[in-house]
Amino acid sequence: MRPRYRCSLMSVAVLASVALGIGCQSAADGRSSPRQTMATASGTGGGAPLPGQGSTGVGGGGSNVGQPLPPPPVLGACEDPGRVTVRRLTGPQYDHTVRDLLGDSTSPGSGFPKDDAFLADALTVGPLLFEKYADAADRLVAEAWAREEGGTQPSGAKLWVCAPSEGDSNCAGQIVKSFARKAFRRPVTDVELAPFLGILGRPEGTLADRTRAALSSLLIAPNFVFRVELDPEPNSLVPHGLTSHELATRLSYLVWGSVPDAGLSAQADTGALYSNDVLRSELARMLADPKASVLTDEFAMRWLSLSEVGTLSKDTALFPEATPALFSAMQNESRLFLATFFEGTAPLATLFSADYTFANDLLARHYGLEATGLGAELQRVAVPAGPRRGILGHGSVLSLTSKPDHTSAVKRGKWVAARMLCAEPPPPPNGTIPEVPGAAAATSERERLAIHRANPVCAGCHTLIDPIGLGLENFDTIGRFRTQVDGVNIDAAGMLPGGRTFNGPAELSAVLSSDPLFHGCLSDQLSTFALGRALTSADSCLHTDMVNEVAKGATLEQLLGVLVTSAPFTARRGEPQGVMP
Amino acid sequence: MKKSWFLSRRTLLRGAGVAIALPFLDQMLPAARGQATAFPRRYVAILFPNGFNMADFTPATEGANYALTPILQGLAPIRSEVTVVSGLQNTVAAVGGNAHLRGFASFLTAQASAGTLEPLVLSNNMTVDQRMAQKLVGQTPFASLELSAGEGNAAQAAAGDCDGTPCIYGNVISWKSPTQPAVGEEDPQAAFDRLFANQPAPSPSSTGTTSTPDPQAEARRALKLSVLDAAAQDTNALLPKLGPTDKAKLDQYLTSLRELEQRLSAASPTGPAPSVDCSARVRPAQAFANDYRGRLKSLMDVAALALQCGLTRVITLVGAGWESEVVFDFLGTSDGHHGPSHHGNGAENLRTLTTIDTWEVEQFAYFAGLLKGMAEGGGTVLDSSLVYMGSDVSDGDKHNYENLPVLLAGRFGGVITPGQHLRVPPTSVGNLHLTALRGFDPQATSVGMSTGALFG
Repeated sequence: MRPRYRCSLMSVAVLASVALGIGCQSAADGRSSPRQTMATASGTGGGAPLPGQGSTGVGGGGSNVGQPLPPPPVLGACEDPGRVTVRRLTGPQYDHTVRDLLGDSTSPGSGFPKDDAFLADALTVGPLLFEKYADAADRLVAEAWAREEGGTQPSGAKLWVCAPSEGDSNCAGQIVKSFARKAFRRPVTDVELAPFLGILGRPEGTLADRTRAALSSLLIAPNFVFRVELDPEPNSLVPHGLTSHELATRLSYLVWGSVPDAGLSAQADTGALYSNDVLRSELARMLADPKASVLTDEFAMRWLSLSEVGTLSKDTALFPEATPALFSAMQNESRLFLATFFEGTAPLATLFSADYTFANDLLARHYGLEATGLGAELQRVAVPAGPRRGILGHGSVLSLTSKPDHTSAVKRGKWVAARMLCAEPPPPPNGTIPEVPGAAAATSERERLAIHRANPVCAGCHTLIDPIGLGLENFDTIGRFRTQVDGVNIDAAGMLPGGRTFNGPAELSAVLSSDPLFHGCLSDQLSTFALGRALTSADSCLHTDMVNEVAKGATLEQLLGVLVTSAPFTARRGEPQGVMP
Repeated sequence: MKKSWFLSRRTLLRGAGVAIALPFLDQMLPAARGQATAFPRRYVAILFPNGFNMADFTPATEGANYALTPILQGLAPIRSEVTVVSGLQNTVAAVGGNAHLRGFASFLTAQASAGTLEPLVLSNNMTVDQRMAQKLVGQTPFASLELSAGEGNAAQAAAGDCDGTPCIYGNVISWKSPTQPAVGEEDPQAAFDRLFANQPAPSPSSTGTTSTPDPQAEARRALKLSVLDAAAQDTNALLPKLGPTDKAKLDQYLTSLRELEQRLSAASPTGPAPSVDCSARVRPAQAFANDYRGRLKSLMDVAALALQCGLTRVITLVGAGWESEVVFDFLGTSDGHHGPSHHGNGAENLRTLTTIDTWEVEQFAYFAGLLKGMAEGGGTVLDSSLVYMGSDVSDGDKHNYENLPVLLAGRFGGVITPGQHLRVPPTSVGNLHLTALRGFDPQATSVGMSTGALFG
């Protein structure tokens, strides 16, 4: 079993060593080692041609036909850009992709087995999912074809690049070829197309049947289902730049969860995308598009586990106010609030301190906000200075981290530590929760927790998480502010890793806002989402650059600008044979 | 080429033969029961999460005359078909990390799971149901069927980190290979459609005749196979260009593709034809997306139908995912499931657990009852089946894997003599799995930590 603390991440290395005294020596060492090798790396990595980047192109299969060759990666201090396993489209990515490719609005991916991760290695394809791909492909193509026949296919998702007719196999071939270019997100060679065009020559059905079959086949092909990135030498550790189309695909799936559009594809076709300026301007253009909502829905909401808050339920005998309408409003509040950061321009570091939120009448009443006449729709409202400001004042977070019938300082502390500081404590040793003598007699949550922290087995982790959670005790099970529990005044004093103290939710939020651990955690979560793999010590340069950016008050666009121009995002390497992790 | 497996003349003739022989078989009962090996074995495993309140689960005495405990009350209608087993353990599951996830992972392996989060590596042993399925490939349209009522811990992290273990470990109980968990279908309608998409309903009036082959359907099938073939060619062209991990991922994809290809191209499975009437099949009325109780029951109905129609013989059902917090409001409890499972010996929590556990055993009894209601030969499908109900842990508060809650229904072709409470000294649950596996692979020698077969 690996040690639970993620020593590979700078933030946790610091946290763990500060808060718990757990040795993360390897990670601490890892931070300095890239710098020590900086001189040699910059000496040799500047412009030397990389193996395999000759005229035959990446992968040796001619799959980058017509593509400009990538420039050598700018690696700097952290010389390893890393390797990500071939990434299957997630359910939402599948939906966005077929929306853009085929004009589909039925979200077939919502019926696929749910993905519980966006890490490439966790995205498997089993028989059940494959069957669903096959069924969806047939249906999607049939429906798009019918729309073409009826003249209602959206212009951006044209399948008929020519007018098909029985006997016109040339046109059928063009339709297949044009669709393959979009579905595979890059130019496709004739050799690659041959199996798909072969379907057109089968004896069964009409030519239209066979054309639809070929399109359907493209939609289950690995080059569609997976985001394939090839290494010139698949078993070599030598870094190389991504092709411009691979880069465009990474960018479009990061921001839109979908295929590159015509504009981005054109920048890839010419190789203009290799310029960091072009990359940044494309990023800005894409973020302004409504499709960029995936950064809120697929990243932020899932990072914070808020996507399912609308279906929460509590003990309604104790909390008759805990209605589906309330939880739905809470989820929407957080979604709209997070969108101001992840689709808008709010500085990311103000996640804990923003002076606004979104509420309808129900939620404003629930919070005791002085906003009236809001109606049933959520609207932006001002939040006065105090405990309600920022994400920790959201009913969604506070309800999610409570038990059905009471609050849990442990759950809340664990949530903040894991999600906001990237420092999830390990589960209890051997998975067992020892009985704590005397805990039953405690009169407050604080006292109960203090008793179990007296047990050395529990103390290691609960010293970290309990004081954070106790700082949120001013909020009840469904997120209402309170000053007393059962007639006893709440003591909301707490302490963060590193010894910074606070008293109550407002001070906790203020401390977290400027906490480098939070800046690092946000950066690492975003990088992990973008790269589809866990970070390693070789990513420490990117980590440092992003942390600095957040601390400077960066918006999402500024932070992503650092990310998408970094070596881990624009380059990759192969993997030696026989070194399966 | 025959268009549909169980509409073939052979099937219908066999069906008629069984019907004619019925009176004779009836006379032979119960003597024939113990040796009803003529009918195919079936295996179903169901996991209900968060452990059980063992004090209210385990009968006080052994043998046939044990008194039903509070949690086992629901077994009354089928107690003659049920074996309560005490003493099985799966302590090898304790490898650190979240005990629930690891309990799920080892549930059908009786072996320690591996795997790490950073880098993310999935690594578990092939589960016993998939070892059975390997033996059944080509014999039934689906070598195995995986179902899940969902509802795993809602707060699981998007990055796949569930208390230090990849989240998927807590949402499946079936693994096809060390890196390939078999995710269960959660939507009963989709599960039904998948099973019956290529299986037109038999019409009773057509008994003894075969419909003429449909050339259009044949053409569609041939075209469909060419669609799969083109995708397979695309995969094969990619494979040599990939590093080892990517290659493994694409191999998985290709295996899944081949499985569908095989099913579409199978003219006629080689196994015995179904011996059960399958004419009444009802598509689930809804998907029960927000109704856990309705969803679980509906999934059980579909599972029973799959066995009834001979579409598969091996089924796993995740009764609910890890640390499930399903609120059993229909039982009058409102505080979730995982919460009270950390009972701390509190009376209220234990009461809630007993209420939930009792309901879960009722669902197990409901499913076993469905199989008991299917006539096969002179007996029922339950006679040839083994339905196993267990949990990821024993006591949800201690997270221990000793003295697991285990209920079995069925005679498994005479291997098991039900109707009793059996207490064994601490024994790996692998011994139960080995009994189950031998029903499909008589040569099997071990499952995980097994030391022998529990029965037979």
